[in-house]
Amino acid sequence: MNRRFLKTCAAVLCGALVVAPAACTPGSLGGGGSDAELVFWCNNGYLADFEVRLAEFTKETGIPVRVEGIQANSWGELVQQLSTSAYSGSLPDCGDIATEAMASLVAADLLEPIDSYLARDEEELRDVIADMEPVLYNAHKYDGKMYSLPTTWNNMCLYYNKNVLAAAGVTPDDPNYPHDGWSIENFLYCCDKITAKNVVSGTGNKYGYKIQNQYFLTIEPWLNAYGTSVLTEDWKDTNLDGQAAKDCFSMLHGMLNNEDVTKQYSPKFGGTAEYDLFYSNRLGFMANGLPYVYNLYTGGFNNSAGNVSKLKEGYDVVSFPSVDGKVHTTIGVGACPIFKTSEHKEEAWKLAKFLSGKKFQTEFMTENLWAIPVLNSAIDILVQKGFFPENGKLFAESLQNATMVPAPTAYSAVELEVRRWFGGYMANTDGFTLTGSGNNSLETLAKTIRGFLGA
Amino acid sequence: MAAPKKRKRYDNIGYLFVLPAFLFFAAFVLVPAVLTFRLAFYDWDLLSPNMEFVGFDNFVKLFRDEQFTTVLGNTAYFTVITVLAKVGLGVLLANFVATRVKGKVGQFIMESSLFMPIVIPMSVVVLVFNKMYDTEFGILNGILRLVGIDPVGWLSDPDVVLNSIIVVDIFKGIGFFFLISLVAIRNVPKAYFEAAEIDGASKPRQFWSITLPQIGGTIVFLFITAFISSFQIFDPIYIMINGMFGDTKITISYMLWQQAFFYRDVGYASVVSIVIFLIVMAMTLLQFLLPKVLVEGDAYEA
Repeated sequence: MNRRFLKTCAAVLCGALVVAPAACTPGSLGGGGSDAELVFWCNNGYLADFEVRLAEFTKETGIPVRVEGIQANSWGELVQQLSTSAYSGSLPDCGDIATEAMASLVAADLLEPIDSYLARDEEELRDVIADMEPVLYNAHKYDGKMYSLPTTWNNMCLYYNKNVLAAAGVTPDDPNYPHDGWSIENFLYCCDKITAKNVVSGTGNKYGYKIQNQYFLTIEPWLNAYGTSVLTEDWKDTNLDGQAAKDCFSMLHGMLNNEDVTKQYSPKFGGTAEYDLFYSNRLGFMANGLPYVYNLYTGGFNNSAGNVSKLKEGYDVVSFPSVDGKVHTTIGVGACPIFKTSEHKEEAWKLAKFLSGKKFQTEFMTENLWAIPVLNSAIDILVQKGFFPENGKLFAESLQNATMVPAPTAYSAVELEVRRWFGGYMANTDGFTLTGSGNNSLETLAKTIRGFLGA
Repeated sequence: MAAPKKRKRYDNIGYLFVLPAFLFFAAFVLVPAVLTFRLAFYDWDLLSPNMEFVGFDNFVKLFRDEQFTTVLGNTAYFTVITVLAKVGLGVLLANFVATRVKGKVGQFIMESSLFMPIVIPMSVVVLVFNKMYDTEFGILNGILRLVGIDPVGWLSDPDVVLNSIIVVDIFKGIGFFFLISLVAIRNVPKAYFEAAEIDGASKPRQFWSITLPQIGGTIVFLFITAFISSFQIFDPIYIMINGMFGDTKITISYMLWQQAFFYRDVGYASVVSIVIFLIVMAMTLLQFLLPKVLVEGDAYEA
């Protein structure tokens, strides 16, 4: 009796010990959701929006969708969470993923190519595809295979505060006043005027521009402005040890550090959100994409409270200044890829088509401006919004001369390593240098990135 | 003859009661720990189904990694200050409440307010401190400006930022140390203090010669707990710094997370986790053994 009891206990224990690691073994991937329900992942910030909009999809198709929000501060973190989920076998059927994460997921063989679906539904999709710019349509093509239709896109531009510029004495008739195709010197002149003219010891500090340690928001757009990029065009090597990158980082470092405190152009990292400074008329320029247009409108910037004329009097958008006088923009494209582990691929494909389709793009994507629609017809609706900034065409036309945010297979490692060096260098941390070949020099950063890329 | 049989059956049922807890422990601690140790000998990117055996390469890499030395230094700095502050202030506050605060209402207010941060999630505490630390709009710099002092970059000055996070960790953790110390102090027989009073011992003298020796075992427990939690600090580093200043202000748990999930170097991350385990284990043993060597008599009971 006792022996049998002990044997039973031992058997249960052994069973559990065998099952536990087996459940954690790579390759034990499972599909998400119950029989009739699609599981859709998106960034937590968009959870409520997607819930509302995908309810419309369910109403149309009868396919229920469970929207799950993922807390991630960057696309690198999202890739990290997807990796963990792949390992534990809990991937969704599909999700809202962007350029930054796509190559990593494709390389890990987690995504289903959609070429056969596209060929089959060619007729149905003809109008939609004809309404897209080729650069967007091809954004998620890797090694000749399509992994998603584009669903959204975004670009980086500079928002400038007209009140701050006016207070600094920089008026629209000044050649340095923000305009597309302006130069780095124009930009620095404005920052200098803003900062030097208004600094007082106390709460009234004003700044030209707030540098953030962000890959898509700061580092890549500024490199583009200097005619270079974190990576080469094929994403197989890095440009970071080139002279253009050095010039770019040197300029940003100068803005943050090299000037006398009373002429400091940029508040240090962290501290205050750039939106708060901009909103309170204490920041001349901030970098962001389309979402801030809506935020400034709903937030009643410039005491507008729904008065769009007053709103437009307060700010506008302009491209990043550049060394060659051309308009450069950095773009990222959204996708709705289908995960290979999905047991509902047909339903997931329907959802993907819905997100790229006419209704979603023209009705929902033009509602609260979370990103730029991928259909030209939807963009036309967008730019006619009364609260759109005067130079709002920049959002629509910036695909010309745009640089896709470099997102290779090792994206999360590249992003982290670049931000690590950028942060260390900007904060004057010991050893983080622009020149030389020390462990934390720009040259070593380039070597490390080449290691990630296998270059 | 019947009695021993009954006792035997009763003992076996005990295994059954232990089994659920052991299964839980095995599935979520033991097996992952063994797997982690195994992974330390492999090169694996978390996504690929294949792992490559690399022997001790990951261990060798650790000893050559300058980042690891920096991060270990940051972690040691953070740990020493927060452990001393949390335990020291916790005991002092507990002694203050136990001996100086009169009346149940006063004690209730003190106990509740000091314990309150424990029940607030770290992320919420960090968000509140983020607002307070704000360089332009934060209350701390507001106060400094009022008294004519230049604002401080609490989260933007690399020389200050780790100290700002230390304050957050102390604020969040001190309630636990205060409460445990308070219970221990209240359990010290009052007769000792009455006798000391009669002998003319001052309050500080009573604290030093009666309270501290009597709660020695509790203090050792608090040191071990504080060390384990501080050494593995992650949340505020992640939310408040998130690699903003390169790797010079991050701690070892953050480095582990970076290596595993950003660089996807799972083998190396496993080595880092083994090092964390060994350091915590060694320090815990040291803290257990040291008082036994140093303290004589019956006062110490770990």
